[in-house]
Amino acid sequence: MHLSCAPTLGLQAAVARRATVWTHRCTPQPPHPRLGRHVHARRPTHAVHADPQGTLQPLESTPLIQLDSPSPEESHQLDLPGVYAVYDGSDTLQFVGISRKVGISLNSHAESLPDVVRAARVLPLPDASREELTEAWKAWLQQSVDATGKIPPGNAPGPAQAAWHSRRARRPRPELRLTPGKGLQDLTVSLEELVQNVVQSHKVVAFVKGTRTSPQCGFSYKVLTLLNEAKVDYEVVDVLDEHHNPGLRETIKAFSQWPTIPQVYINGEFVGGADILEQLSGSGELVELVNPTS
Amino acid sequence: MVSEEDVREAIAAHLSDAEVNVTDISNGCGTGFEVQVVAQAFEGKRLLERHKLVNAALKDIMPNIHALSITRAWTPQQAAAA
Repeated sequence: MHLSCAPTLGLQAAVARRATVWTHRCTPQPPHPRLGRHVHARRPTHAVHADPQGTLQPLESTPLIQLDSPSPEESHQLDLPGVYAVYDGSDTLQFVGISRKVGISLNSHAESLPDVVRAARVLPLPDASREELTEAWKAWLQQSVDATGKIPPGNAPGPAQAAWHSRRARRPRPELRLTPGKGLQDLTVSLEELVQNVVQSHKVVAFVKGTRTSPQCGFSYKVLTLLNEAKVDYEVVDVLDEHHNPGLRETIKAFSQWPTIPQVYINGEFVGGADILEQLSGSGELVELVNPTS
Repeated sequence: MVSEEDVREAIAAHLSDAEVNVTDISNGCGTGFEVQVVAQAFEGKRLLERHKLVNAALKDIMPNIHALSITRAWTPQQAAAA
């Protein structure tokens, strides 16, 4: 274990600061003799928690990583848990964050704020507990406030904050399945009852051809787009999924007494297809139906 | 094959005095139609019910139609105001 750290530790003084991190990773081992000087100078980093003596690597002396071109060693740091400070194109501090995988968090920031996120200082804390991570984050945040006289914009309350805290879009919710896919003969209830159950137990249900992410028909696509635009939470049932929804394509037409697909149900009631949804959306009635204001 | 005229006639037969506009949106395949209807029968009915009236009128030929888009279901008053 110690050997695996040796190459990193063997680098010249400029990198030695970062080496403290690696010694931390190796804490059960005694410091490498050749590196004793650095390690002593920095003091052992297993004391990351509560940082009154400043054992933690200071923000200002941590090298800035250009996120579009990290070196292999920097990339390795991004794979670890730790604290990170994000800088814009003019090297102005924007946000101090904490992550179980710094690189993933930085990617997510870069996705939501592509024009802002340019570089970062990273303090990897591979074995730190949650509390230790939080303490390190507090220390860096305090240092940045001391240095700039203000809270980084992404950490300060206000409109900018949301963009830093919004998580990357989650994987789309899977389509609802009416049956486990073992065929109709194993069912104890009819498909109509399953449909009835689905539309009554979910606020908004869209029966479409295809899936959320790849609708197989222009009208289904339109319905999903309108629901997305209305920012309503909705479930999707794929009528083409014969395995899980056998016969639904015809059953739903009879059930709703509506000859075409897509079909949208809100609060257990059939609302209509793409044309109706489009008009309800245009008039604002769609949002009102889902979330009545009065 | 269903023609624009078939669709128009079917709707007119069920909704007397209806003003019907039909466009084949399937490149002449007769499988997709866009329909605009202005009819007194729509008076006092919600959009869903209006569409159901049109769907009911097309019940017999619907099995041969793949896509039906009802882009307008107005009363004559609405049409005059538009």
